[in-house]
Amino acid sequence: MNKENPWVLFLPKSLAIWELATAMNIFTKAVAWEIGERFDRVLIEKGHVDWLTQVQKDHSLAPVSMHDPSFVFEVPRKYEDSLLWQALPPHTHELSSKFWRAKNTRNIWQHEDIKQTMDTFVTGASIIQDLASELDLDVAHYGRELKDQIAQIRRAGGQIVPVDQSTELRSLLEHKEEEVDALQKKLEETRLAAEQLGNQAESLASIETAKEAAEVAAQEAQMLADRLHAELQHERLLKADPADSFEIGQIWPSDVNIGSRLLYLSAHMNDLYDAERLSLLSNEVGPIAELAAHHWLQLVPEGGHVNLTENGHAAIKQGNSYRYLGRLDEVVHGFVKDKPVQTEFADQSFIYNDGEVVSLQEDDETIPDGLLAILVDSGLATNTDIPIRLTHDSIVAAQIDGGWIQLAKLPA
Amino acid sequence: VAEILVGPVKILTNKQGWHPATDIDFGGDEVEGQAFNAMLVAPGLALNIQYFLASDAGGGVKIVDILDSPLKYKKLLGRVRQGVQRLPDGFAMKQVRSIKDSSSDKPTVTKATHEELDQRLGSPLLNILRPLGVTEVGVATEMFNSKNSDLAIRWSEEGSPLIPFVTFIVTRVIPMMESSE
Repeated sequence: MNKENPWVLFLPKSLAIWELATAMNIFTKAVAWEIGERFDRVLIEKGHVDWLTQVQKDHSLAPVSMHDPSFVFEVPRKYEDSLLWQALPPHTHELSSKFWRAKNTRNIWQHEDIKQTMDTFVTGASIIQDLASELDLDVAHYGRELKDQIAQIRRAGGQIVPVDQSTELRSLLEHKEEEVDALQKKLEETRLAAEQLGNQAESLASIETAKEAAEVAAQEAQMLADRLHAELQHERLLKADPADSFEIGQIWPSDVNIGSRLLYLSAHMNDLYDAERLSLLSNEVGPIAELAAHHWLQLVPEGGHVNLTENGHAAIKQGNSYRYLGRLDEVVHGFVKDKPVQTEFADQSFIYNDGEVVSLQEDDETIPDGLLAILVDSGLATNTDIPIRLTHDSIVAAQIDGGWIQLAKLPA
Repeated sequence: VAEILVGPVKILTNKQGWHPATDIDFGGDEVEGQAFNAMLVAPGLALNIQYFLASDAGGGVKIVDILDSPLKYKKLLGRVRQGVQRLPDGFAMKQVRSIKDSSSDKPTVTKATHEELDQRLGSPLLNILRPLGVTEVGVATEMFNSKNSDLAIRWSEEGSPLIPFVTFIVTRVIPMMESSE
């Protein structure tokens, strides 16, 4: 049986760089740990009992831990003939490249974390996830959960505010599940005891008592199960966000929670200002805040006080009421960062590699203004040719893992 | 630089940067140029500030909106502008003056010294200005052969647009914050 991975998924609650760096470092260590375990298990099975010493000797390495990410990612990438490949799928340039990208990501977050952003975090998590998925590791799901969490933080305007009610409810549900389990176990034990007693001595008076106890236990279990079901439904209702169905411009209903994050939509800055944190939202969540502000200022040119819900729904105060503006991450029509492209591509296509972009059009080698800056900002991996295309709506998309992912929208 | 702290006040900027804008000159005529917007913020204070440079001349820094800040900051609106002059090789503020009477309804500015500004800030002003690209701080008479003996500051073309905001905070905003109104 596999050992339990000691690196437990850490989900950031905000975009604070220490939280992102912690999450990324734990993810890389979790992946490296599982690969190191695989090396150990498979190579010993194949008779290489002292495989680590052998690998160190083969490649003139200093003594190293078999779980060390720099060892786990670097050696397979660097040495095509390494013993380690006996514990991996057949060597391909693509798989070797995935180790290389993982190593780079690990180094960036280990040594240059201060320069990182939410966007480079998502790219990094995709790179590590890509390697983990290719190797069919148990921890591959960390990558998806981390990216989902970042999307949620982005929608929430930079920080997830814990909801006590939900936490309490979840705790209650867990407690009740334990109760149900205990009662069902008790019921089974009582039934078994009743059957045994019945088979051995039907005349014993305790049979009736045992049966009654079993029936009572079953009834209690059923009641608890019903309550559990009702509470799960209640929780689902709590989680449903009525704002998902709001029309832009409609008055925000007074009975729907308007959100506790207070911002100021600033026409002067084309941004959202957070008076509590004394900062601009774009400095927390990146260009999406400026895109949102730009879009909302077309609806309300003078700006004003905005409330933001945990799910990123925004409403602006107008007189004594609030008007719905939309969701922070879906304000730019047709563009949702990190999501697959939904619209048709224009003819232009490019290749991006190591800070340079090249047009693939023989008759038009023009690079659109702002494209290179977007690609550099997006933190795409270097030393790899990444196909880039533009949609008719000027959305910049990169081909990642076979799919076309939206990066940003070219400036008008 | 997205944020810098000047004493108790933070300057906020974003990627908006320089953008085409118009302003009204002293003669009341509209002039075209470039503007750089920022916010000056502190607990209970948020001011929209703009640095405008005419296409073919200098410009200046002024408060354009006091948002929800205390009403006393209204006195800074459209008044006590900090002028910026273009030089052949950069920019200068040849008259760095400090607000005179912050409790007056129409405050004016008067001569300030380098030492006064350091004292008001609680640390050397140059520690903030040098990294932003300021190359010289002195007296206008000596630096520019001017008739006035005001404090003057010079920076190169590569200097940060935040320089005049820093000076504005120390000479206008902090005195207003310290006033008892």
